Amino acid sequence: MKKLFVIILAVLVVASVFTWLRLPSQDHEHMVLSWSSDANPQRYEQLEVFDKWLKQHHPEIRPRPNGDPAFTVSLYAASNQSKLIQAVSGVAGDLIDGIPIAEYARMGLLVDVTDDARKRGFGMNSTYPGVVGLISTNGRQYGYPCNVNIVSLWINHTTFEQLDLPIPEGDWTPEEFEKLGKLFNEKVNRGQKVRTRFLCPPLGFNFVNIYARSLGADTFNETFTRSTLTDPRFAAGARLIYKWTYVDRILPSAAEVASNDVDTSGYGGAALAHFIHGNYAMIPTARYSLIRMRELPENERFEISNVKYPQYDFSNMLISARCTAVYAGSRHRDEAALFIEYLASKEYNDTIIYGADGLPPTPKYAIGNPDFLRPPGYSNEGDVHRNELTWALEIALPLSESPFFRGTGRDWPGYAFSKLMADRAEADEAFREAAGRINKSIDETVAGNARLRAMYEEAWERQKKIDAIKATWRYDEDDPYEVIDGEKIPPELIDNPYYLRYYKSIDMLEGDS
Amino acid sequence: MAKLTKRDYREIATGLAFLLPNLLGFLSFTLIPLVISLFMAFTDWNLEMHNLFQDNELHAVGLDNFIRLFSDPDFFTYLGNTLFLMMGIPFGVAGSLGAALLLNNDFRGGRTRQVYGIVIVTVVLTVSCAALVLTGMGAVAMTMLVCGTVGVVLLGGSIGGQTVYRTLFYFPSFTAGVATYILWKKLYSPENGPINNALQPVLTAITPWFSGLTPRMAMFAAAAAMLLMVLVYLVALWRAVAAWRNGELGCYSLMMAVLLLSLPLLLCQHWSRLSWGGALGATGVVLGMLVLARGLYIGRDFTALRDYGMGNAVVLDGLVMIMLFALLGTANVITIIPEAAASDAGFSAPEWLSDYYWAKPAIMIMGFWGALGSKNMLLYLAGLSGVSRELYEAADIDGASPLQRFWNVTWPQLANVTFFILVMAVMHGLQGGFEMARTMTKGGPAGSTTTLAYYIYTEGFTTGNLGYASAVAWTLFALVFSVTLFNWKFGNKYTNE
Amino acid sequence: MTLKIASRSLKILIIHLVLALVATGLVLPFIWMVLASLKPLDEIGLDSWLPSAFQWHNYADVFSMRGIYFGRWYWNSIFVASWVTFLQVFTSSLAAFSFSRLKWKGRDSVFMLYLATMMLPGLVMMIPNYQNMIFLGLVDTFQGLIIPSAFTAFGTFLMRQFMMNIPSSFDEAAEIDGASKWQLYWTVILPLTRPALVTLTIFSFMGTYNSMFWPLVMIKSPELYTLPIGMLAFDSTQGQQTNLLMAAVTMSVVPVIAIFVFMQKQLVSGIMLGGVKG
Repeated sequence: MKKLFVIILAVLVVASVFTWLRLPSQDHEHMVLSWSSDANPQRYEQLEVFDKWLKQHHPEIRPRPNGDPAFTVSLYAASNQSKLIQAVSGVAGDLIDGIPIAEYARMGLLVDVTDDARKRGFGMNSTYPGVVGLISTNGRQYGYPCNVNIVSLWINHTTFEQLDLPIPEGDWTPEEFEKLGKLFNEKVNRGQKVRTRFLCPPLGFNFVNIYARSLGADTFNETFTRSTLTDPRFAAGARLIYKWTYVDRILPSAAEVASNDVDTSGYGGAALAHFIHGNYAMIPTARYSLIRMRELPENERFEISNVKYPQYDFSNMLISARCTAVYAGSRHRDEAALFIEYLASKEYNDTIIYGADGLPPTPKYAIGNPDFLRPPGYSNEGDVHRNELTWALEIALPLSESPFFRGTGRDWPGYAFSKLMADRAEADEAFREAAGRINKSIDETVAGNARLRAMYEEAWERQKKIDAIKATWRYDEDDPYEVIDGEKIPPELIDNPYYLRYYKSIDMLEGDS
Repeated sequence: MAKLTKRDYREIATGLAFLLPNLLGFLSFTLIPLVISLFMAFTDWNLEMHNLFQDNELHAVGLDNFIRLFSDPDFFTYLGNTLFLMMGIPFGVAGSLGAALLLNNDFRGGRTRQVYGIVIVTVVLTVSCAALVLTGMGAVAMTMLVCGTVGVVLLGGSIGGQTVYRTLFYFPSFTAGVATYILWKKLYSPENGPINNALQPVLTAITPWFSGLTPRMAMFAAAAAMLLMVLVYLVALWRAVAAWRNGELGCYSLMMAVLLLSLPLLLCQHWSRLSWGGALGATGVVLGMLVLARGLYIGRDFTALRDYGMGNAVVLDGLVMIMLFALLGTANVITIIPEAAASDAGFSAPEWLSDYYWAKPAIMIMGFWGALGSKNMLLYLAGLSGVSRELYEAADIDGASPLQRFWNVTWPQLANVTFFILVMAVMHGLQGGFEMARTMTKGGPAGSTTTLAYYIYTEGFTTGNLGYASAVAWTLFALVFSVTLFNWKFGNKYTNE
Repeated sequence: MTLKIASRSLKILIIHLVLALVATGLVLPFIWMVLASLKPLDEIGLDSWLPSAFQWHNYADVFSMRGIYFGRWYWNSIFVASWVTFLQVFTSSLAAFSFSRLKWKGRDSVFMLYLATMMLPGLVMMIPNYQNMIFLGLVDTFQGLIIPSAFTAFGTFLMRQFMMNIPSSFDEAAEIDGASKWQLYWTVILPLTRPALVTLTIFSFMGTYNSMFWPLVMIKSPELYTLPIGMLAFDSTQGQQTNLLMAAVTMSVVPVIAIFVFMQKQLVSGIMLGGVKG
């Protein structure tokens, strides 16, 4: 017994030492900043360039005696667990990624970099207007985008040509999309018992959001004080998806997606793999997909183009950005801030431009850059780069987020949408419920926080003024969303960037005419 | 209290010294967290507000969390989901019992064992050849595969006897975990999983049988099922009241029985697809109350202790309750048959985990697979070996049929084991469902497989609402505790023989 | 007489058949799992379960997938489970010794307290325990997985039940020899409890090997994943490669099945002994 006990203990101790030695963090002796982000292949190159950049631009940071850089950044792939939990537990990386990060900032998890940014040239005005709200809150900057994405519908020309389908271009409406889908089904899926090819994967709530915005409604009101998911335009958009999925069967159902096996060995997930194999004729994606598509051997590459989501009058797209910030729990804040500075450098932007990991965070390096607009060697990519850049600069807006809504890990619109898709509720009812929950949560948050309450009350006063002005508006009889005339709204009343842009486009904003 | 002597102190010191490593862990990872958790449940502790970097004041909010909980429809939905999934328990227990009864048979044929082996293998080969001929060459490989497996198992069984079967039966429950949940997720794959691959041809084949079914006929059939349900309810209630009058049930046990039996009829209000289903259920309950009133009015012939017969009441009436639910479900299914049969594709196999309504049954079927040969089967086997031969012999002398033998000898002898198993299963069921939900469905579709355990996880660890999550956890604790109390109050009579 | 034998043989044959059919039904999912793990990807959805050619390299491929550190997870799982098992067996046999072979005032009340906690839903303690781990700085470490799991009321209960059945004459004999309590535990009682020790070892190992909740909230670095959460990550990122997924699933249940087949006897008796949980 004694012997056995001692032997087991010894084995365990040896195993522990062995395990300890094999832990990745034990490989280095110098300072390592950890960056929690997604582990796409481009990231590693970006880190190598960082080392060079650091030597060149910050010679004051001396390399170690043996010539190695003073510190390096290593990548942590995102995990199963929510970032929130990691971050509040003090174990997040020195650099945190988030889409967006403003919410983390409000929780006190991030270091304010406003002053550094102004001094060292990575201020908010150096990036896209659409992402400012994602990296700042209350006018203070907390990070910088590391790549920017405009998700649009990408088209596989080979598939379209094989099926002799018209390739959509420019602006198009949901009706045109539906027509194309029916044509696709007619050619591919007629009489099929089990379907494996579809025009497009499920579109989800993003489509509903773009659809509603194109008609003049957003998920929050002008001052972010109330959820406006109750607006019938959301229910209409969602019903359209429902119809396309179960009635017209243009989009695959959840069951069909779950059953569609595909080789996902490359980067980019299942939908992209289906797109490459021609099972999806188009997919909602962005420039980052090119990382994978450029890995394909030359003879397997195919022509691509991209179009906006189908929508109506007010042309809009969603912009999202993976943003990087310095974690408040980091012991290397200054070094980490250097990395943020690096994200706005030409060197970094070039890695994005050439590596195709989304749009470069600093647009000035892409504008007019022929290597970006028409990358040599990739003639099959056509105008996708130019389109994305134009949309990002001109029409893209982020998803609306209310500073009064603490909803980490909660996706109520998505939940409402899933209820509709599972036949659990009518569209109106589902969105009404979601709006109710969000508003209730806003009330609770505001009630429990004096500083927020003051902000909220001030915003609510402005909202009342806006509502009073809007009450004077008259609408077209045929099109209930078309404003004919009425008083104009002073822009200083509005917080929500969407409405600033929308009211300007319909000429209902004061000060411009 | 007597004064402690020096010797007492020394003994306590020695005792605690041995206990120390365990006690330290016990205190720091069980007892203290328990206290903290209770405290948390009465605060607005939220990770977004209260974390390492943000030191907002923590407010005591009194009962707010609990009030929010009881006014939150989500909580009741998820409690409902949990209870729904627990309806699989009796099936699992019954399956375990059946398996144990089969395994308990005497296999030992002495030297003839090998003979049986040979006989059996011959039979299998004959059967598989016949099957080959019948199915044609298309499915040869699959037929051979299945028949071959049966043959191998039979051969193993005839040589190894009980052990081999027991091992195979126990496999699913022993391996249960993330890996097997992922396996089942793939088995359930709606368009190309093996389950639907096998099911779809069958469904397509039987569609024509139902094509003549008009909606009106379906309506009648559904109505018949519903009426049968009411009838079963009344008979069961009648018997319960009669048992009470005979002194076989105490008052509490009778109340329990009435409660269990009436539940399905009351739920007709929400669950029946027939427009008048709710009304029928209500009528049934009213009739049942009349039966009850009549019984109470006549009074009883023999009195019994208030909790006498509780075990039987719970087990038997629980089974009847499940049966009533099954009838209700059947009625609902019948109503949609004509529509499905008339569609071009005919009956289509369920989409299992992707479908709001099928997701729960899918998880229950998987649970049954695991429960059949679980440790409950082993407990039953142990219980069966304890049943004395003499009782059976006595029953044989009376000329009892196998069913009577089971009902009059085996079942009462196993009552304590059954009760124990059920109580344990209920306690586990209340806390269960987290791993399946996390692995297979993420609680979806549209929340249909979110159990209380998964709710606590998402509230606590995804949204960071620690105060509220603790309140849910303590409510769950209260439920589990009431089951424990119930067990403690009534279980002793059945478990301490 | 012959008729009776014949009818008895027939009965046994039928029972055998029923048992074999049910057993086959229960095992079929595993058969599908193994066969699917050997298929090329495009044959997964076919009616036939048999692969056209056995693709053994699927198993090797699992180890070289991007972002899937299968070998490391395997090792982590076994490593963590071994430590937990070792500590659990050690601490609970000590505690059980104190509860069963030593007499001290208040012993039984403390034991009742232990028993009571076995009824508690683990979820109640999970949230404060997580805060506890943040406070101790053990989040995202193996220590954070091992230490909180090293103590078990159930194991203590199991060991105590077993130790209660050892006749007290052993203690008396040891006392006459002048043995200390530690010697009594170490040289007399512990060797006698070998069956219970083995049972507890299996239970602890299996429980930890399969546990998902605690690693899920504790571990964030993929290098530290244990198999269950590693499998979750596999399923959510590359789950559409069913053949490789099934190969991984097969490999992760193999240790469990091996333990079961070799330790069956001890396990069954342990379940009878513990009854309550497991």
